[in-house]
Amino acid sequence: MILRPDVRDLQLIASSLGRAVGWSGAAMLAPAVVAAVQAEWDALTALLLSGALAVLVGRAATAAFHVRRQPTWTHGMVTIGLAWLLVPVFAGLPLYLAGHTDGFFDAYFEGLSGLTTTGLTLVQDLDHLAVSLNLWRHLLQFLGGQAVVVVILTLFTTTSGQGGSLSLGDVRDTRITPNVTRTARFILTVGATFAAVGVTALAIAGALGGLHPARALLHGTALFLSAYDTGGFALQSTSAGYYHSAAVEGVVIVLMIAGALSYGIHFELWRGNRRELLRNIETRTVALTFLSLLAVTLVGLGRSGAFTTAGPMFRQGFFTLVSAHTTSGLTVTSARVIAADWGLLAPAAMVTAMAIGGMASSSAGGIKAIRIGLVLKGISQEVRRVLLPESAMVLATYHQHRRQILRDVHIRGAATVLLLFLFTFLVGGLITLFTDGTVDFTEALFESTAAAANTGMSIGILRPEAPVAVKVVLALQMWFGRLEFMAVFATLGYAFALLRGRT
Amino acid sequence: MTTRPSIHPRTYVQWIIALGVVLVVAALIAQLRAAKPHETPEFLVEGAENVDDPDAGIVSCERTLPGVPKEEDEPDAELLGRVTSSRVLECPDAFDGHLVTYIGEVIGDVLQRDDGAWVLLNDDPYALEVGPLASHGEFRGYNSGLAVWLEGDLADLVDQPGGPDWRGDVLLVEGAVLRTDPEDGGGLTIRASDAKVLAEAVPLSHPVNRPQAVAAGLLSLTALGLVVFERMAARRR
Repeated sequence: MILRPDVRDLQLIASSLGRAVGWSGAAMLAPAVVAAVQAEWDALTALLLSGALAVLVGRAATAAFHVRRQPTWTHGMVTIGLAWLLVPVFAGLPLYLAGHTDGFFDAYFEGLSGLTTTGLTLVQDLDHLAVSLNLWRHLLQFLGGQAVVVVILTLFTTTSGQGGSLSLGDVRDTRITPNVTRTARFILTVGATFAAVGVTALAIAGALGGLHPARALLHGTALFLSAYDTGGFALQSTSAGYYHSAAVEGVVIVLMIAGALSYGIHFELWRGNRRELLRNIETRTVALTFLSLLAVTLVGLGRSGAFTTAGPMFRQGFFTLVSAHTTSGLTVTSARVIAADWGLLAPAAMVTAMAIGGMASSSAGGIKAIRIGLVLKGISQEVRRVLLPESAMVLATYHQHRRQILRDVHIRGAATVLLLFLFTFLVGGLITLFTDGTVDFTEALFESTAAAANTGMSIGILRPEAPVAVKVVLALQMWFGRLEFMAVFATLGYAFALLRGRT
Repeated sequence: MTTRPSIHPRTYVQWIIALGVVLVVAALIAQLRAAKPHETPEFLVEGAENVDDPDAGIVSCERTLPGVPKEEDEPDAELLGRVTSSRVLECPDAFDGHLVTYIGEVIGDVLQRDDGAWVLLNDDPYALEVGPLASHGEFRGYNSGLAVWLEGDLADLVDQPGGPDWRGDVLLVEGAVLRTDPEDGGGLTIRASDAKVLAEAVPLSHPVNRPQAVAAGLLSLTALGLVVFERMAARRR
C-alpha cells in the first residue's frame, strides 16, 4: 500500500529545497564580483537581482516550511530530484535578464545544462556575451559536478536497501565515505589541487599559444571548470578548437580524464596506491572500451577520406573520443564538420563512448564503467557456466578497492540501469525525430545520447529555433541521466503517492 | 497503521500565497527584461552584404571517398568567390584546397605565433549585419565562423577584436580552404595570403537598465539585511 505523504513531508522537502536555492543565489556573488571589476553593469544587476531573489526565496521557504523532523532517504531523494529542476530556474535568470536567450525556457535549459554538467547551450551570440555571465555558466558546471559527486557518494550509495537494484549500494566506494563531511572535504581537496595545477597549466599553455596573460588566466579558469567537471561549456563558440594549441588540448585531456575518474580511485592514488589503477574493474573497463573505440574511430576517419595524414587524424580523433567518453563535450572540430565530413563509423564510435560514459562517483555521465564491467563479467560467468560441467561451481570476482565476489544482485542492478539508459537514448531519439522533421535518425540518436549521457556534444539538432518539444525532451533527458533515474523515480513516485496514496 | 494528520487550512493559504508570489515575481521579471534599453549604432558592413547570396562560391557538395578521384584533382588557382562559414562547414570536402574570399569579424583574441597569427572570423548576422545581440535584442541564432591563419604581419591589421564591449574589426581575407589543416592538427581553416580591413571595430554602449538596477539594489539590500538579521538572531540564541 502506498501512503500519501503528509503535509510535514512536503514542508520538510520544501525547506531543504529552499536551502539549495539559497546557496545557488549566494554562488552568484562570485560572477557578480567579476562583473563589477569588468564594469559590466547590466550583467552585474542581472546577477545581483537573480542572486538576491534566490536567497530571499530560499530563506523564505526554509523559514516558512521549517519542521522539526528527521529526513529519511526518500526525502533526500525527492529533494535531489526537485533541486536539479528548481535551481536552474534561478541559475538561468541572469542570462534571461541579459537578453542572450530567446525566452525564459532557453535560459532555464542553459541553467539545467550547466548544473547537470551537460554543456548543451541555447545562448545566442556567445562570442559577445559578458565575461561575468560566461563565467557563471562555467561555475554552474563546477557546482553541479561537485554536488552530484557528493550526492552519489552519500545518498546514491546507500546500503539501506531502499535504492533497490538501481542503487550503487553494493558497489560503493566504501573507502572514502565514513561520513558526508569528510567525503565533501576530500572532494574539495582534490578539486582545489587540480584547480591550482590545472588553471596554472592552462594559463601557461594559453599564454604560449598567443593569449594575453590576463586572458590566458580567464580562459584557463573557464576551461578548467568545464573540463574537470566534464561540463562542456566554452567561452567561445568554437570550444577548445579556438586555441589552436596542442599544449592546451593536452592539459584539457588530462583534466577531462581526472574529472571522469572515480573519487574512490582518486582516494587510492592520493594514498599512493597506484596498483589500484591497474586492477580496478572501472579502469580496466574504460581502458578496454576506450582502446576499442579509438581503433574504430581511426578506421572510420580513415575510411571517411577527410584526413590525408595520420598525425592530424589521430589528434582530432583522440581528443574528440576522450571528450565523448568522459562525457565532457569539449570539441576541437565543429559538430557540423563531424556530421558532414567524418562519415558514419567515427560518429558511431562517439555515440557509443558517450553512452558508456565515465566512472561512478565522478561528475561524468553515461551508463558508467562499473555497470558495463559488471555486466560483461556476468556474461562471461554465464558463458563459463554453460561450458563447464553442470556440477561445477562458477564463481566470478572483480576488483574494486578489494577483491569482491560478483553476485546476481550486482548484475541485475547494473543491467537494469544499463537498459534504462539505452531506453532513454532510443526513446529520446525517436521523439526528437518525431518532433523535428528536418533530422535523420542517426543525428537524432547522437543528440539524444549527448543529452542523456550529459555530454553535450551537439550535432546541431538543438538550436534556438528548434521545436519546443525537442528542447523539453532533451532537458528531461539531461535530468534523467544526471540523477541516474533513482532520484527521478523517487520524485515521480512521490508525486503519484500524493495523488493516489492512502492517508 | 498510524493516523496521518489532516491538513490545516493555514497550510493551503501558505501554498496559495507562495503561488501568487511566484506569479507576481515572474511578471515583474518579464517586465524588467522588456525594459532593457537598446542603442543601436550602425553595424552593417558595406561590401559584406548578401551573406546568403546563393550564387556566391558555388561548388558541388558531393563527398569524395578514399580511392575515388575528385572531379577536379587540382583545385582552381583562380578565386572561387566569396564563401560563408555555414557553407564551408556543411561541405568541407567541396571547398578543400580552393582559393576563396571570406569576410568576418575578428573575435576574442589574436593568437600570435612565430610566423603569423590565428584568428576566429565570424560571419554570422551579429558580426556583419545587425551587430552584437546585447545592442539590439534581435535574435539571429548561434555564432558561426572559421579559423583563419594570417600569414606574416597580416595580423597587424587587426586593431580590436570583438567581444562583450566591441564589434571587432571586420576583415576580408583571400586564401585557401584546408579541410584538415596539418599545421592546425587537422582543423578546418583558411590560410590567408591577403587581407584588408573592411570595417573598423565599433565600441558597444551598454545603457543601464534602470528598473533592473533599482530592483537589483532593493533585493540585494533586503537579502543582505535578512542574512545579517538571521546571523545576529542565531548568535543571540
